[in-house]
Amino acid sequence: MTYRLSALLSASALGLLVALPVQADTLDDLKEQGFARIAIANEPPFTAVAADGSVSGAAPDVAREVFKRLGVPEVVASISEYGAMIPGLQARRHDAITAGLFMKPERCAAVAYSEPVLCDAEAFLLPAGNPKGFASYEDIAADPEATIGAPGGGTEEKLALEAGVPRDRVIVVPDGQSGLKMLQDGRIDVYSLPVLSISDLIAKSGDDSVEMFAPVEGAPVYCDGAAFRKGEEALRDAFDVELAKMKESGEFAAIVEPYGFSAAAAMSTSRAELCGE
Amino acid sequence: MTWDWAFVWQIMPTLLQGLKITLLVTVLGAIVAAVLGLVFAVLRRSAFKPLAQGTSFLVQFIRGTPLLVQLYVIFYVLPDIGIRLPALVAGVIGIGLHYATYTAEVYRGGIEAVPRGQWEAARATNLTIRQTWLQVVLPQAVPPMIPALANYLIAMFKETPLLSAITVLELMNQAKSVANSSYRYVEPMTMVGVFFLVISLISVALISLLEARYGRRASR
Amino acid sequence: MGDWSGYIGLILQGALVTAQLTVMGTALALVMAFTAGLARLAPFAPLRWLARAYVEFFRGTSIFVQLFWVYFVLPFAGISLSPLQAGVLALGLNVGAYGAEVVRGAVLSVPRDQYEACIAVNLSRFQRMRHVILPQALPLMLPTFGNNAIELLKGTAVVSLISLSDMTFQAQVVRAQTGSTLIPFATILVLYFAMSLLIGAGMRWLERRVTRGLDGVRT
Repeated sequence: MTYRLSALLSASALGLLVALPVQADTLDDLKEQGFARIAIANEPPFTAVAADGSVSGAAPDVAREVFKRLGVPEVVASISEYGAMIPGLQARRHDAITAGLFMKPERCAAVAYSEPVLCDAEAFLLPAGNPKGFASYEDIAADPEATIGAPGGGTEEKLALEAGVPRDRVIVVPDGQSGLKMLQDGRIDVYSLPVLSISDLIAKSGDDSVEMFAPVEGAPVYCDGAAFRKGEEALRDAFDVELAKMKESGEFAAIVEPYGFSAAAAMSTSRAELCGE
Repeated sequence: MTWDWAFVWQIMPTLLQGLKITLLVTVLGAIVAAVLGLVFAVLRRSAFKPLAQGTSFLVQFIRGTPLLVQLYVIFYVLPDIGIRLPALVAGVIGIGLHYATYTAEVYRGGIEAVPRGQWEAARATNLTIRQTWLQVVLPQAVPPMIPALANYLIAMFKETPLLSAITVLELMNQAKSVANSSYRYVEPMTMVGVFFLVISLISVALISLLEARYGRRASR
Repeated sequence: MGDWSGYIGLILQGALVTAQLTVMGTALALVMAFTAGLARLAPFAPLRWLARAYVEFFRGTSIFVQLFWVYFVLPFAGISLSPLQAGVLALGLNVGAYGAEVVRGAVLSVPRDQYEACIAVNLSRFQRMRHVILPQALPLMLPTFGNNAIELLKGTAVVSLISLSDMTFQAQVVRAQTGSTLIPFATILVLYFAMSLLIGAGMRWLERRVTRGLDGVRT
């Protein structure tokens, strides 16, 4: 029995290791593969995963359409924390990040962004009536007791830290539901996400003990883009070509506006501007 | 991606902050586990059947389900019934409760290892239940249990990263935070591994000493 | 709150992944346990040290850290594993290290006279291990292996943190969709418990089978 058992076990262990994933990095490889792997965050309306596992949200929808036009019919999404997306991209876990990862100069240096796709301002989710009167990240820094929740590795976290909120008052919240719950339980005083994400959370929760304050004063309007690995500029440029066509024909607006995004905002700026080139 | 020593020194203070919290949680959790485990062990031997069986089921249930999920429940669900614990407290209780189910087993083994004759002699000399436990049984049962309990202390220490899932700012959480903002995963993750390994190896050495002093003489 | 059947379906899909991870992880752990455990008893010193290093390393660091390392750091060394492979690898290596100690302990507690009898009857090292020592050591290992398997099952929950769609991860997804925290988590707690009971029962059955015909072995 020991023989057969150990043979079976070794075979299954080996078999597992042999099935290593194929690396596809150029557009041709993606076309051959038939799908592109994208990183998402499950933060509606930027990205969302439905009960049946299907992926929607403005960013994946745009990506799906563009990739289709490039000859790659499917996108396969994997959920990731924002902070893990760029390392994941660099480690070839994804082919692109389409999750509302806002363009900032330091991120632009780490990845190859497409032209802007989704733009939004920052917002606060607060107890109804905004008892502490928070209007900006600096207000939170000024109040020594206030704690703010934000996604790990996201823009809001950075903004809070830069405004002077100490590390132990910025709570990394894994997802929207947790953030809402933590606010309702009084664990955090403020939960910060982009405007549309907060609106979506409030709408879904139907809870009138919370309200939104937007836009946060002193915080810029950010836009995201599809992010590709450095070195994949050819793929990125092909993406940009199709994206531009869609913007021109109005199809881009048709995809993002039902989610609440402003197509005009994305079309009125450019990667060069946002990356500070 | 090459290793950047300058970066390592830069993040070291942040990581050490996290380590402090990790150690704090471990010690507090160990105290909870030690005390609660004893409670579980005693209740399981209770003459009142429903209590003994209920405790037994509870212990089995907690042991058979993941600590991570238990932490989520304590952190996110309890507030719904009015018990809102700060993250650190929730983490300590979660870890302590989980490992109490293991220490309960150690206690049980240790208590059962005390010869029946001791119990009978205590009965014969008219000691009260309380005296029997405190003066006769526990002093004999506890020393051999110490190495096993120490092993679980180390296990608890290694499980503390799970607390990052309920927002406790321990070592792993600090490392992830550093990695998130700098886009470099290699150094923080490796340093966390090194910290754990070093502390663990030291603890293993200490436990060997404990075993030599308190452990049962193995008839090997 | 609608679409409960869809949500239960998601959780069951997650349960499938959890089961997959447990089975494959246990397989790897068994391979590692026997390999390293027997290596620690080998007459060849460097092999013993290598096995010792493996055991101390994997027992000395937490599964969470190992998983993150395998998933996020290894790709930079050129080894990019899928979340499932990373999970199985980390879990298998980790629990395998504990299993190695169990194997070693069990083999060492087979009475010396068995070894002596083997030498007297002129069996080779390999035959001795395969036909005499291991069959007697196996019943001693099984109870602890059972516990290790349950630890592995519980360890699979950690893969949710690298976004692998196991049961815990799916519970989070359901939670995000429905806003209810208690129901998804209570459901998976019950499912995990059921799985651990299953493993326990499986182990007891295995113990009975393995001790058939064996005389005077403590179970």
